[in-house]
Amino acid sequence: MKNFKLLFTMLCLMLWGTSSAEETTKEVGKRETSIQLSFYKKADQTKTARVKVNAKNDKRKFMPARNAHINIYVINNKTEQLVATELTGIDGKAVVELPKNLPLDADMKFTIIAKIENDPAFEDAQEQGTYKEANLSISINTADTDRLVTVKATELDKDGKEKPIAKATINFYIQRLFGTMPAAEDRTATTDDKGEGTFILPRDIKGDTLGNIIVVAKIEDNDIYGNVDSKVDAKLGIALLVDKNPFPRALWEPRAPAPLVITISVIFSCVWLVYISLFYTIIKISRDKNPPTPTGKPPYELAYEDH
Amino acid sequence: MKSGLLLTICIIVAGLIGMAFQTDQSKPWVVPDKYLKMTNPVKATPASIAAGKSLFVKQCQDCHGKKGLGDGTKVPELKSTPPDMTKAAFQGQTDGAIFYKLSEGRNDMPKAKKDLPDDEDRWNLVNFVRTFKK
Ligand code: HEC
Repeated sequence: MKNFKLLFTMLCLMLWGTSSAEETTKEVGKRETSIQLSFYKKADQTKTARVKVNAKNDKRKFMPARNAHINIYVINNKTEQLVATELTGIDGKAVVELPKNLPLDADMKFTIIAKIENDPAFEDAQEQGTYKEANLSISINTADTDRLVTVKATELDKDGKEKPIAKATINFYIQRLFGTMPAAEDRTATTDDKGEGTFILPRDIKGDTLGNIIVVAKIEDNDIYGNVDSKVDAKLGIALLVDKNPFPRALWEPRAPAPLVITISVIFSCVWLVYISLFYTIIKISRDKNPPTPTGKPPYELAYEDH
Repeated sequence: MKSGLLLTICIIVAGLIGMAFQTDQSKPWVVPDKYLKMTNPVKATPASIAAGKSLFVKQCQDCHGKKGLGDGTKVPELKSTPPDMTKAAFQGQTDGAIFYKLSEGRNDMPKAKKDLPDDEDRWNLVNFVRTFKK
């Protein structure tokens, strides 16, 4: 009993030791807020702004801010034009779809602004980014045995002509069910004066049953172009073998080999046959109304005859 | 008698556990005199700032954030808090003090000296974090 008490005290003390160090978040007025903004252009040409909002807790530490009201503006002829509003999710993030044709300035650039304005819980904050639209096109020459992937990066100049983007860093990935996987350890190419970069696809990439893979080229976190994706299908993966007969007959598998099954079945059926025939005879005897009278004396009656 | 001893041990253990979880960030970060008065040998040229920036993006941004606000993606997992580098409280320090702190580290702040043994790299970082000043 005394030991139990002691143990209890010990536990309490240890819990207190850890819990006294835990953080507690109190809401005190509006919280100081920071916004991070990035621009994404996907392979299907959709354009999105991704926003991450952090707010300081009472320990003055930035934590993801949920349910912050974000207004997204674009600059059109030097005036701000509201294009969307969104609430941040539990991770402090929001993804906002942008119009296909963003208003451009004289340098062919567009400006996106994310703002928190008059939010009851968060201080006003804003972040803006100015980007240029880049086009990425990725191709694979399948006739070529070198498995060379070529990507070309271009932008439009003022006359609407395509102009190569030189010295851009491009990373290569393989599309998987949940996101993309780096195509190789060294998966980076830098574009040359023609805006072209190349990458040699490794041979050990697993594809679907036909060996199809999707190769993705990305410009990532670029100061001028933001994030741009481009995809291409290729039959350069290792075909996935689907095992048609995943459980072959074997002693250690759920399905035993046929001779074993037959032998055991025969043995068991013999035993059961004996039982069945026994029952059959017993029933037949008990139903017989005129049992045959014994013609000879059974040997045990002889033994008692003398009494 | 025996249980009294055990209890004392328990209290000490509990205290130690508490201390291990408590990050001692409220204490001032004392910089040795030698560093406080050290002059920055690397001029804040655009080249130095650019070099500092590329190091910062790779090694520091995850905690300190793109603009030095202390809003990096790793921050929620840290026990200590990276300070706001845009504020006067940070920018008011001498270059030598910043150099010392980032070189030596404390709590979650790693010793930058380890990864970047070359002094010039760390001075470039000092020059870059100066650009966060508002
Ligand atoms: C793992 C997260 C993390 C990384 C990575 C990191 N820091 Fe820190 N840094 C911190 C934390 C936390 C503090 C506050 C430490 C304290 O006060 O105890 C800090 C403090 C500092 C300070 C001192 C601020 C002050 O005046 O109190 C400087 C300068 C600094 N970091 C620069 C850098 C640089 C430069 C890099 C990149 C080489 C870097 N940090 C990488 C987390 C990090």
